[in-house]
Amino acid sequence: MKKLSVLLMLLLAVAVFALPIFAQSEDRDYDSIAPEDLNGVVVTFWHQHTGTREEQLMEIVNEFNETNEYGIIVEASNQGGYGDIFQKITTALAAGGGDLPSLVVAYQNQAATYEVVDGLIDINPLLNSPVWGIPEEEQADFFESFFNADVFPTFDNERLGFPPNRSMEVMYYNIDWLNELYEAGAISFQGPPTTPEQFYEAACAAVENPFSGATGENAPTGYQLSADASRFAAWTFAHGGDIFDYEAGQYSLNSEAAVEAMTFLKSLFDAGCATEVFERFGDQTNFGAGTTLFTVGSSSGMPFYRSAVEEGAGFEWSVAAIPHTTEEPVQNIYGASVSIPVTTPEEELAAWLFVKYYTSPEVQARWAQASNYFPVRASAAESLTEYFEAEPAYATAFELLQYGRSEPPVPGYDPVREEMAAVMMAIVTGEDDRDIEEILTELNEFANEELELASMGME
Amino acid sequence: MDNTKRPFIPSRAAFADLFTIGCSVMLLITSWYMWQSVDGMGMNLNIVVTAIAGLIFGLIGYYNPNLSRWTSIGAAVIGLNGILYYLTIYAETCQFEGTLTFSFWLAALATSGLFGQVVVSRAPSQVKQSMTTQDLTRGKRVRQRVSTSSIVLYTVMTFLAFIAMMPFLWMISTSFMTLGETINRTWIPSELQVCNYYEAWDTASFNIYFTNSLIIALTTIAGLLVVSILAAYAFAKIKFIGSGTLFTILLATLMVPQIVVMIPNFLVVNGQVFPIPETRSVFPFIEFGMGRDFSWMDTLAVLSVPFMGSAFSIFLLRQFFVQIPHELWEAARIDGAGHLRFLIQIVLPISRPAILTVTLLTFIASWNSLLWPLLVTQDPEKWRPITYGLQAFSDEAGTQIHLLMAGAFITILPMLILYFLTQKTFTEGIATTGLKG
Repeated sequence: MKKLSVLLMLLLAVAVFALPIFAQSEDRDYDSIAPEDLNGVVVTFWHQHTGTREEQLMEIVNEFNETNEYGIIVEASNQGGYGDIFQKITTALAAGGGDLPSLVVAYQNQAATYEVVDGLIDINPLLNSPVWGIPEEEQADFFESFFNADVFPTFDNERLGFPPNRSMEVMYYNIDWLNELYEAGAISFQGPPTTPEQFYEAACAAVENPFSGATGENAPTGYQLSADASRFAAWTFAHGGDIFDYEAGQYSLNSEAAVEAMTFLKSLFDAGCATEVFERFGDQTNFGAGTTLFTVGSSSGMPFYRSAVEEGAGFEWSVAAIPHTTEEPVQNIYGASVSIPVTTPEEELAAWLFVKYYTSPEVQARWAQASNYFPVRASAAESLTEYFEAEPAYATAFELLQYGRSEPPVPGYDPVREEMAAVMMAIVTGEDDRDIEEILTELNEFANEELELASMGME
Repeated sequence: MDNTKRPFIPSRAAFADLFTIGCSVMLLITSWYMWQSVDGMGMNLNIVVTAIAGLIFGLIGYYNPNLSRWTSIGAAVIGLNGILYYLTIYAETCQFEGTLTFSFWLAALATSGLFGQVVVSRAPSQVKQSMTTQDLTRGKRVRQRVSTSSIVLYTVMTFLAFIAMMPFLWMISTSFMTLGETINRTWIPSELQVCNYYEAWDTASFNIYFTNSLIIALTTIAGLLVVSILAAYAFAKIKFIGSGTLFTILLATLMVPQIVVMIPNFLVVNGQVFPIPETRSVFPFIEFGMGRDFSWMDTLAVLSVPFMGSAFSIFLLRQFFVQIPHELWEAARIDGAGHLRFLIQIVLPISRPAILTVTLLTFIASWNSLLWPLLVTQDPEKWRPITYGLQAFSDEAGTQIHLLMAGAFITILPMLILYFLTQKTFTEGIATTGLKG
């Protein structure tokens, strides 16, 4: 599967570079477009949302269609998952850009890949436009780390996306079980673990002291790792490092912090205090059944954790920062933004006007509650007071946003992510028993080769 | 004259009539029970009329064998009416409790029996074939020697079959569970959550995607059979310059992964490479051209035409066709037949296993496809296949496993039915084309 994905990336890259019919990136003069020129302009919006998120998004879209003064029509449609959309966009770019949507959900690294062939517009001119933009004082309302995540130094600080929401890697923990462990004298601290040592202590204690309210029949385990690049990054960040050296413009997957993080996780596995996840979202399931004390995953999964616990063992649970060696937590924040592919000036402007509406404080507050994503504007957060009270875990996670750091917004990150997950699993399970630093150095070389390949053609 | 008393063995038709009577009686009993045990339910006229009509049809057919065929059809029609009625109740309420659930499904089973009684009529003939009347009258017990090695072999095979079936059984079991039961990893649901199927069908708009997939699969199969049969016949039976080389090139395309041809295919159907026919034009006024106006995106053609030329199908059919004796062709020639008549009247009838095998494999491939349909469709309401509907139960952070499994079972059901219907010929097709391992 991994090889297939890498092959696909290579093929797409080759196809993108080989074809001469690329979309033209031009200097647009959006300010000269008259409002009446936008009447009847159709904005096709490709997204990945399903279920209640899709329903809420459609409500927002319909509301915009009914209320916008320009007569713009947004047509939002689900186009599969993130990977499917990425594939569709790269293929459409390869085919000359004729079938590109007006607006598309894209992770930063995906946006970077599209921009290698000038597939996206720079949103800065629209954002700062005196006619169509967002005033500077309103721009200050956006959380800085979210707002800047879509500015790409590798592309002359172009803004290739705009954030409608964000998520974060958090540690989910069973409060009742931790209390039981503390009362039984199995652990020496109260509350969630804040350091890797405390995490290790509790995880191993959990194996010996099963949760009294567990409803699942699985053997108790302290931590279930679902190997993923975001988890790799989260644990590395928490160990005081990064997976990308922004000064050198190269990956640093073999940094000291990364080696320490992987060594720590391996020690948990070696001691029998952690296990791997064998099925998709299996850690959520076991957590809900009260047989897994800790999991690490996206904050956007909270509704699923809530259902799992309510339908499962029914205990008190919450989220906390990833246990860290740094003085303050360092949290991996991520989330797909929306990017505007190069189409016509009117279509691009119309897409932007929808984005502006989508990220307005009132819409953001509704979107955050329905999607369980974090809003990107401080004023939206202010109107979430009642929601914070109703969802204490969400409120806790929200407090951690100030400690955010992001994964690298570089082209070609997708195959690297797959390799990172595979290597992570090979290390912790002992499948690859070489020295961890040696394995990570090999991974780093692969990642940098991918980066070089994906950056081919960039000026 | 043989005065030995012959045991009663119902005829094929009588067996079906007895089955009809049995189902009708069961339906009457269960509807009576539901009427008596549930306050306010009342006597359901639809079901009672169905049961009584079934009983009458059964009795008429049994005592008038010459009418049996017609009474059988009548029973099937009222059985279908009963099935539709139960589906309506299920869709409207989707909630039954305690013993009523059992009665409901028993009654539904009985109406299905009325509908399906035409199929069970074959059973007695099989009995006759395996055991003669003489054997029965003499009380002779037919025994087959069973060796120890056979017992061991069958035990191991049963065990392996069970292991192979486990994921499938787990899928079915999970599809009837509550979310809580999936979280607690139970193996068997405490009560069958049949509503999961209704919810899955409804949530994922399966009615649209199911129809789409069916149309796509049938169109693909029709086109593929025409292309593959003609090509395979040419490679097998007609000698022409370069046939060997062409066939080798064709085989070589089998080695190219689908993912590699994805972008070239996309460029072709998008009208970027060479002129393609405009899908809205009507035969014989087909307009060819390039560019956006000629693009096949979001059409049935884009989902079926690219798969109508399959190297594997041509290869498989060709392997079957070459085994057909040359003497048949010579005889046909003497009778004045050309290649097309020989193909249609001689080759195709005896190539049924191979054709069914190709049909089944194509259906499976078409039914399971997702990557290509996602790539070439933009409007979710148009031509998205059933596999796309399954995504409704998962997102980036979690999944509703019980609904996902119910959806998955609905998705594979047509393939299972098709496989069971063609199982014998499918195996035969594989075995006679040199593809077995």
